[in-house]
Amino acid sequence: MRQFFCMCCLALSLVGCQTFTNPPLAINPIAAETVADKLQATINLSLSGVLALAETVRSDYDARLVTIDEANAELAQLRVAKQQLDVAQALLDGNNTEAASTAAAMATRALNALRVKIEARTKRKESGHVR
Amino acid sequence: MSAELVSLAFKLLAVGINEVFIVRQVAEREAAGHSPREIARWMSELADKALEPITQAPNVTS
Repeated sequence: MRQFFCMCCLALSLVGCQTFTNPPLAINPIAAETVADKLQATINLSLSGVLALAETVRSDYDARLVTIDEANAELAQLRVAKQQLDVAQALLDGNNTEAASTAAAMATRALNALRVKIEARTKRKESGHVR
Repeated sequence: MSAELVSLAFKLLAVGINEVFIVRQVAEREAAGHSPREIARWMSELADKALEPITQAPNVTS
């Protein structure tokens, strides 16, 4: 049983590592060739971050790690960042790459700040320091 | 397009199970021939649903 569990963990780790060492082009700004492609990949990468953080907030709520008010406050912050990404996408669609880059950077900074907050909260609660 | 922006974007993808699943789905769509813009539209729609306010009691089965 333990061996089976270890094998499952190893298989999942390998799948995860493969995903991150060879990310899809759609979310890999470094592999993109033009400024517009890099910006599109950055927007996509940030959108995947929005999705992952929203899932984390919902999971934390289901696990009763946060109250409904805390969860909805974090989702509201994520919505603001998502709206900034929508603005960046609209600017990129209009070929205004400079303004799109600025809007994407603002959204990404907000997402990173929220990510740090959510991770810190989850760690605190996992170690039993909160509630 | 600054290196700082790319760096900031990658910080969002620290290894986590949610990210792995999303990246896998993106890879599948890319393999199916969807353009980055189409993938952005799909993720944007998913995000709009995921970001809706919570109104129900915790789903204890998940």
